[in-house]
Amino acid sequence: MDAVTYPNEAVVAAIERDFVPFKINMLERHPDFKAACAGGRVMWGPTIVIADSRGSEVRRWVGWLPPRSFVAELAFCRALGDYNHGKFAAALGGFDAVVERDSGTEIHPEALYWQGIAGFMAGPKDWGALRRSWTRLAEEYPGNRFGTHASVVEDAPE
Amino acid sequence: MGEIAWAETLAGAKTRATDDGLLLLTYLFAPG
Repeated sequence: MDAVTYPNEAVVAAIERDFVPFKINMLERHPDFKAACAGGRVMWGPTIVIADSRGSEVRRWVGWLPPRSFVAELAFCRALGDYNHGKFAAALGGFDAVVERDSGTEIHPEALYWQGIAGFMAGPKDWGALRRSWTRLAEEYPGNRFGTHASVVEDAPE
Repeated sequence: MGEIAWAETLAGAKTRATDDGLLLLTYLFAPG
């Protein structure tokens, strides 16, 4: 992370825009070691946790990502944070942006999945929005976990 | 090259986060 991803200018800009960053080396006895580990599992490094300002976890993942994927993941987390706070229109805008801009990144199928859900919630109850995103997801990503999740779209109401 | 303005403490990070802000916590297993 410190060698490639975190020095990247696009990553720095994305963090500056939307996030307050804190980093802890698990091999050192940082004064915040206990507090930083409270309430969550850190089984391997790097572990990345996105939380809201109240400390409520939005997302957690384990493993390195290259800069473009990391920036896409941060944008996805921003939208997920909005969704968690009931800001469905803002969340939809965020997921739309990831879907449009970040095709080819690891987060893209999951962004399509949540685009459908946020569209449904922002509607409200817009089955057409859910159907469009999930149909595209199931077609573009057969065999992917989220493509499988979305395959139930065939049973969605008209 | 850019440089991330890491918060020095977890409490400091939480203080800096606004109501709509998000915390990015990174746990590394790396020497040095």
